[in-house]
Amino acid sequence: MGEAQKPTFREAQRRYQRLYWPAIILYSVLCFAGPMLMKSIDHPAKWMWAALAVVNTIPIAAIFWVLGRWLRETDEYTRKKQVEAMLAGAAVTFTFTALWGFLELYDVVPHLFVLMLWPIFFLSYGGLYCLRCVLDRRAGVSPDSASGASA
Amino acid sequence: MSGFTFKQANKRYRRLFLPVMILYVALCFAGPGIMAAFNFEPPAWVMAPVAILSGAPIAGVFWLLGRFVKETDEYTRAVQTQALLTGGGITFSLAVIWSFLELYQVVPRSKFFPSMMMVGPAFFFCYGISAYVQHKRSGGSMRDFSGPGREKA
Repeated sequence: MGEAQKPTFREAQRRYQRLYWPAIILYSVLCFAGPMLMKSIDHPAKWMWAALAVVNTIPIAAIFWVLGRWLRETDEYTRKKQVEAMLAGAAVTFTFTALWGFLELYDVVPHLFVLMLWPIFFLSYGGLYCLRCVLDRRAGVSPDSASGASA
Repeated sequence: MSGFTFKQANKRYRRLFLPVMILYVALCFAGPGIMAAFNFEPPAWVMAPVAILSGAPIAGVFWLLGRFVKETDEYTRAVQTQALLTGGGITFSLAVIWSFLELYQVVPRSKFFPSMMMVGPAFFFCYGISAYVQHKRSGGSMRDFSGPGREKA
């Protein structure tokens, strides 16, 4: 499966960041530019708003695609740590959505846009990953001692 | 690495998954039942613990999933990881589209099915489909979920 041309850890990291930053900048720009553009149009049609919603989402889908590519390209040790942090982040996010959904259904809390989902996911996933790195460092676990994979 | 075979890991997963799911379904029905008992105007302090209890099985399923991914063999781990990422990516993208549509008032806001509540089921659906596609792509047979490099025993 093309193992011979597999990028190194640093190359994989660079390839990830080369697409991640433009995607996140594009997303931020679209979040502000979209509604401003719509304001300049007299009574925009529903399909225009729908198209804007889809275009706004493309960078999010791109980030997940880049994340998947990076996971395949990076070394074994980073992959393991990332996957565990991602799963923990997903657990926090989906538990939160279930809890908030029920609280909303039972009229305990007001409506919250699902848009908050992905900041919650990336914050919990990133936070748990950092926590794992700190704990590993304190325990004296290095990438080499953990799996023999080199960064 | 974990000391469990593929079959043992699968059995350990299913042994807890089914009770957790049954509990979740029971709680999904119990909540509205409690609401009805209060003439659909229950105090918040009654419904808040019910909501927390109803969300708890979802956390349980993720804990189980994490344990299963750690315990199972290399092939299944790779398939599951890829499926989790693909399923997560599709769910997040759909959730963001839906949220923007709600924000721009293209779609109505449902009173009885809050969009937040639908995210979990949508994720598990997308994740399941992705796992099947990943597995098929890598040449495994679905009947015994055996991978190309795994013995069928």
